[in-house]
Amino acid sequence: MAMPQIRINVIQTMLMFNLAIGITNHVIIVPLILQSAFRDSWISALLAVPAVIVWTIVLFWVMKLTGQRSLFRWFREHYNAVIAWLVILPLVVLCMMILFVTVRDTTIWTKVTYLPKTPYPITVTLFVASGMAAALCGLRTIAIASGILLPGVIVFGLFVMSVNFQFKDYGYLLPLLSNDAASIARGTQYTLGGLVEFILLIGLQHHLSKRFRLRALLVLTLAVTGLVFGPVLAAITIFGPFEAADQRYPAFEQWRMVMLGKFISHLDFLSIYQWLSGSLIRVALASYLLFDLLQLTRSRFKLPLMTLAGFLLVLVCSDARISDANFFHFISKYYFPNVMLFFYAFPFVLLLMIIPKRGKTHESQASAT
Amino acid sequence: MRTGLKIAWAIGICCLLAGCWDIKSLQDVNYFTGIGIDYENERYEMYIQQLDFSSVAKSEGGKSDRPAVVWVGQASGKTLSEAIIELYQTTQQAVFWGHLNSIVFSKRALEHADLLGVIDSLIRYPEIRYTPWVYGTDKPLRELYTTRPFFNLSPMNSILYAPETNYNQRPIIAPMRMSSFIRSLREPGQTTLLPSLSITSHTWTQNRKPDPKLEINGVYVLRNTKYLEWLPAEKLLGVRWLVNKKQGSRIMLTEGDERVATVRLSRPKTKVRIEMGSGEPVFNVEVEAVATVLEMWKEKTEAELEKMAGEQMRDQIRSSHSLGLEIHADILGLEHRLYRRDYAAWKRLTADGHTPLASPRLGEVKTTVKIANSGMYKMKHRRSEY
Repeated sequence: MAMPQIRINVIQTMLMFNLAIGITNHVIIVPLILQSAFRDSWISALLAVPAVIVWTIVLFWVMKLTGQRSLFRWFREHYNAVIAWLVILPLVVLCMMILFVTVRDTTIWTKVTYLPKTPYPITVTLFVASGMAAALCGLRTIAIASGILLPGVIVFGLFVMSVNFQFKDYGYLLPLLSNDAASIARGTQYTLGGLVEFILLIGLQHHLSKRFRLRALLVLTLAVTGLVFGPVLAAITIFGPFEAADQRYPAFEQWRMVMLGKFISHLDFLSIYQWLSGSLIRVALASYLLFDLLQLTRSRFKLPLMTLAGFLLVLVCSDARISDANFFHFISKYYFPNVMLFFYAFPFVLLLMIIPKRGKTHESQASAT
Repeated sequence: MRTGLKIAWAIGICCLLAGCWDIKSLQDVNYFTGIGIDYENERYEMYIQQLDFSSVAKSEGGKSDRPAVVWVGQASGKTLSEAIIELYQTTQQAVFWGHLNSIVFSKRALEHADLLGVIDSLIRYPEIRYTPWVYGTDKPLRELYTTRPFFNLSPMNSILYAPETNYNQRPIIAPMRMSSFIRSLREPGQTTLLPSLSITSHTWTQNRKPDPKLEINGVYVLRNTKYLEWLPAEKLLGVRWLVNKKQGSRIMLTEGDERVATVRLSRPKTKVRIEMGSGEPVFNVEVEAVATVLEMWKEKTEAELEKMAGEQMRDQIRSSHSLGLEIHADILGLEHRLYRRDYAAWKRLTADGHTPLASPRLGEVKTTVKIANSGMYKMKHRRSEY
């Protein structure tokens, strides 16, 4: 069978995931961590690190033992089609949820901050359309776009960090452990809730041109974990833990502080570039994976189906009955806690399913080549 | 042909950019640069300063020969928003708050208004940032907003909007931005020293007529949102060695009534050791700084000057502390140091922050000043004509 040769390399994958998952950790979950762990938010994030390392190693073994082949095919060959669909289903649901949460959070932020007079459905439509268009162009397009967008995002990030040193007082990180263990654990849970999205890697592992090495995978997940610290530390040291916990967009508030001498200020428009770069890649990647996991990449109904999906997404996101408070409640009480629990366990379960069938992997690979 | 189509598409999509709903023409906007908040009879009295931005932007013809024009608006309401809506009735054009750069609370507002409510009302609005400078005042706000800086410059060059350079030369009272004001206001165990703005007509005259100027003359002391007291700058000299440390502080040295010398100090290095003796914390302070001689009226050795400066510094810390005890305010920020260092003890002693730490005890105060250089003259020079 002629496999489509649209492969991307490991570096491209890393750039893409840095943007797509970095935005969750750098932006979306920051208010959640701050409101649960306050001054100890950074301890919450720190506690997530060992858990991330263990999880990454398990993820690596899943990728290695399946030979980075399509997860669906592997499970269909080693088990049966039903099991294969059951394995794919959680990833499909995750992609759908990612689409909803990302589009909703990004566009509401747009509405509240810099486009208050632009009709909301217009913003949503344009945003979804760009994401879907990128997804239609394929994984390679998304990967190349990431390579172009990410350097700017990093440079601006370092810029906002260093310019804001003038407003930071690291004394505000003390005293340690002024919140109870449960609050700190909740903060850790949100941090992990963002990080387990790396599970998407096994959804596109068959599109990689080379094997992922454990070291590269650890660098990737730990780098993105590191992204949590920046805005969390800055929010506490600039605004104090209690004010920071009340802010809806703590990361954006830091951009609004930026001042360089007397003449340079109001540079927060640069954050629009950062935020939209992350969100766009995220939406594009999730839409691509959604269709790829459903085995529709080569389907001739892809365009109409994707239009339909985009249309539904716009409809759901611009539903006026969902207020931002509802949405925030949803992501803090239901979405991130459940995503964290389920997808933290998911690769462990997969590994347990893969290990007994390991012998056969080599045979089928040998016969395939 | 395909390339042609692509180019047409690219140009076509750019046309969308012009159709922005949120476009503002910069010249058709009123910029509110300062707001003053007063509180009387349960009503918020708002004062707004607007500037003619042609007096702010630098034009090629150099500075204007006429004083900058300032408009002050006033409105009142049960909430800030109600007052603002009243103002909008007369603004003629759209208002943009993004360049708001100073917020002044009247003494009455600090004492009686719901400060957290006021902060909510301001910060919740997406155009207002955390960057404006914050002051308190007991002068009429209208007067404050019509006091202009020198040389017909725009009020943007006054300490109301640009206090930093002034502070660098005379670092006694640190100006505060909204971010650090709120941070301090909402911090357990922290005492906020909000700079107070006043007007003085005694210092400058313009063509023999008194020319009033803005000055920072003291601080309003708040423990979280509770108003405690106003203190004049002269009584706060000990604070700068522990809170808002900064290089450039001066100390005048005297022997009895006799003037001896003045030294300028580097940024002090301060350590506070907390001893928990009998359950009560004792704060031992250690300050180290390097000095430069600014003036010398009497011949003294380096060692003598160093000793005098150290003693002077110690006296300042002690007198600021006892002043704090008098008004039940922790102006040296000792309680907050306890909060950071020993959270459990702080919690026990203050009922989790509900009652302030009862008269914090200052133990040993050790100050060390080293003289690094003696300015443009030698340290030892002839005190006679020849």
